[in-house]
Amino acid sequence: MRSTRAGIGGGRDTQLPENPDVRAQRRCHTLRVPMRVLIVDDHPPFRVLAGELLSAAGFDVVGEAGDGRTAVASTCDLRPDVVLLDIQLPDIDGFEVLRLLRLQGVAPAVVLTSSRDASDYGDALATSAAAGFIPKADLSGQALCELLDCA
Amino acid sequence: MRPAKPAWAAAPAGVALLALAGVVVLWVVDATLRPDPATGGAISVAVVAYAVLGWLVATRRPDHPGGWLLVAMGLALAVVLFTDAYSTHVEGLAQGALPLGALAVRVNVVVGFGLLFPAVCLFLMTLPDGRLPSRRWRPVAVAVVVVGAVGALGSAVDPSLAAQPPAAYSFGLLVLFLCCLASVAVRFRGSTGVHRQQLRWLGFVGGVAGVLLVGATVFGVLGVDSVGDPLGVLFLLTLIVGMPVAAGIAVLRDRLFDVDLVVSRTLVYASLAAFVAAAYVGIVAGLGSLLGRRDQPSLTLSIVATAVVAVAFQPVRRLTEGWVRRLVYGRRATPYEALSQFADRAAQTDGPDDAVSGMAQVVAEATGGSATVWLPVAGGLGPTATWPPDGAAPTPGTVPLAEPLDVPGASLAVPVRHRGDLLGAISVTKAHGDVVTRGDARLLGHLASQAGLLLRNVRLVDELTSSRRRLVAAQNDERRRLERDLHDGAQQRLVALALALRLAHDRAAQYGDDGLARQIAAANEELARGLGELRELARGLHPAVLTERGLGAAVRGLAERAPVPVDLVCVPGERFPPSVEATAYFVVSEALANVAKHAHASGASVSVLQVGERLVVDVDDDGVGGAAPDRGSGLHGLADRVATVAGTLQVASTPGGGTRVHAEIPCAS
Repeated sequence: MRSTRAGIGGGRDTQLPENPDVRAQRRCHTLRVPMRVLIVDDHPPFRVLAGELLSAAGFDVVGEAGDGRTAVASTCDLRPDVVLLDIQLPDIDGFEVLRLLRLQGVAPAVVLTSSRDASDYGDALATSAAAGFIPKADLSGQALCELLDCA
Repeated sequence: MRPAKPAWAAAPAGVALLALAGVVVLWVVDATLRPDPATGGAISVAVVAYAVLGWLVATRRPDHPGGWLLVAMGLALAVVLFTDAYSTHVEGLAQGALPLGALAVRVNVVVGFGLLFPAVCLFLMTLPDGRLPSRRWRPVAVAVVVVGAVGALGSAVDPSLAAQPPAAYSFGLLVLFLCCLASVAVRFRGSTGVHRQQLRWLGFVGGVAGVLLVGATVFGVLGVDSVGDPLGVLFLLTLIVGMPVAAGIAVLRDRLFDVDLVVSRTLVYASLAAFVAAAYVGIVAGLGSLLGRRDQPSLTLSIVATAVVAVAFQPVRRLTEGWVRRLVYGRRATPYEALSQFADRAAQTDGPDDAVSGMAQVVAEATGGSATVWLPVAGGLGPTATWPPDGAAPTPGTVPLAEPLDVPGASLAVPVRHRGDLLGAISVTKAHGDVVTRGDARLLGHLASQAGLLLRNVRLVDELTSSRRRLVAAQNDERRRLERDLHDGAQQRLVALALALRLAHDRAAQYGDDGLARQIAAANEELARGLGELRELARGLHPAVLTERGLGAAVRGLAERAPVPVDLVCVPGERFPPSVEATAYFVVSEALANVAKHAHASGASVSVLQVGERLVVDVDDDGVGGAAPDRGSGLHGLADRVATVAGTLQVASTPGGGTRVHAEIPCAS
């Protein structure tokens, strides 16, 4: 899986499609093994809704974490393909989680998310090892697919 | 000061000067009377000095007998000289052709015994405070007056008695005069500080005179006139010339009678008058005689003289003033200079620290010592500024904030108050051997009363600055808290709502209800716009990235969001105190917002650079220019904001020439 920066800064441009081809979305992974996703966010309603959204899009949501350290532990434990990682977490922030994961030699595709805008993080996103960034409100299976280049 | 009565002192002083003029006329007329030029000059100077000095002192200090006694001495001396010269002239050269010769002899002896002797004695006894050394000296003073009066009466009846007084009477005079000299010695021994300084020259002259008098008397009694007579002449000369010189030094240098200012001014104008007269006479008469036209004064020469005097007057005045100032005050500033300098400094100071050290400087220059300004600190008053910086200072440490002030090591300390509040203190430390004069104390009192307002301002500025800083810090905290609340609360709920709507949209599409799906999609778009606005609001309150990732990241974000291309020349990588980061961020943010709104620019550049202990922020654009901070734009508020962290903001904006916003913010952490 290659790490791409395609989504960085383009997150705010990601719009809900006018006439989404839901079936295309759902078939995103039909020809392969579904991608296994870990959702990290301290806001339970977001975790639930994101899980439902991604499941509906054909992702396999294998777990959730409410803070940074649990996220690191769960990633090592569950070995997901993708970690959807909120930047603002109660203990350590998303960038730190990312660093710790790299230190542990665990290298899932990490997609950062936040209710803030990409530009609110300056060059921190560009210099991080994340696969990309999706603003929370723009999260959809398709957005994640496009970012991961798995369509 | 009491209303002065110049006329009372001016009349005898004027008579003294008239009598002196008479003496000089007699000297000119009668060559046999003429003394050698040195003695004549010394006597003339003595009379003028006594009369003028006495008149000035009596005018300014009518309560002090010193001035009146000086006038009396001048008058008596001049009258004695005049009557002596006149009677001698009448008997000698005039061969009795002039009237009143006998009367002049009587007046001579009466004034000599009745006025000159008591005046000299009492002047010596009442220095420097105008009172006798103690009650025990009262009989001596009474005896001086009585013996003088007896001598005057006796010699009025028989003037020959004056030339050969009874031995007992002469002895009485001698004892009384020695008593007066002893009183000066006693006073000098018991005096300290300024009084000792004022007395030292008079004491010296008195001592020399005493030795000469005793010597003259002893040799006179022994019949060795060849030694006794010269000693007697020396005694009189010492007394006549030495006394006014010593009194002049005490008055001018040591501020006896506190008339140094008026005396120095008088000296200046007397010298100037002399200069004008000398120059005029010199040119008109001198050049005139050289040109051989002595009989009629030349109009041309008068005009030349007038022109020369007019041209030279100012330079000469300046020279004379400088000379007199050095003579009177040494290295000190005059009290007037000190007060006016103080007012100037108060008006021009850059800031509280500057004001306080300037205050110390003025006080130091005015008193000739080193000055320390004390301001309230925890536990009392602490030395805040000392001038000169390496000058003698009081013991460091705090002194209790109580009255009377006790400043260890200081020669003089006065409290500074404003409307009853004790705001600080000024202390003066004099070099060893130098003393605080009455004038110093009074000047320091005046300066302290002016300093009250200044220190009040210093305190107000301090309070204002720190309260503004507190307000801005509190505002920053509050904004950060609001942003955090927005982010953790409303934003998260709305984000969840957006996801829920997307889910609903997908379901509706899945079930083939395209109308519902479109409706939900439209609702989600509206929600996305609302979220965008909310994000902008939160960012405007306080950008989270600033707190979390620092100024560099925040400025990059600003540049990225700006509607015109922004060239980031440099941004700092390190962190600064929160107030500094917030201020610098809002400078860039407000400047870029103005670029977007007003400048019609095609591009902008941003540079944030740490230079020494200052963070220098520059935002330039190539737009239409013409921005001004005072036109109610955000720039004015921005300048206030920068000022709260002791920074400066400048806006350079020429119409058509783009705009540069330049801020410098102290960033020493």
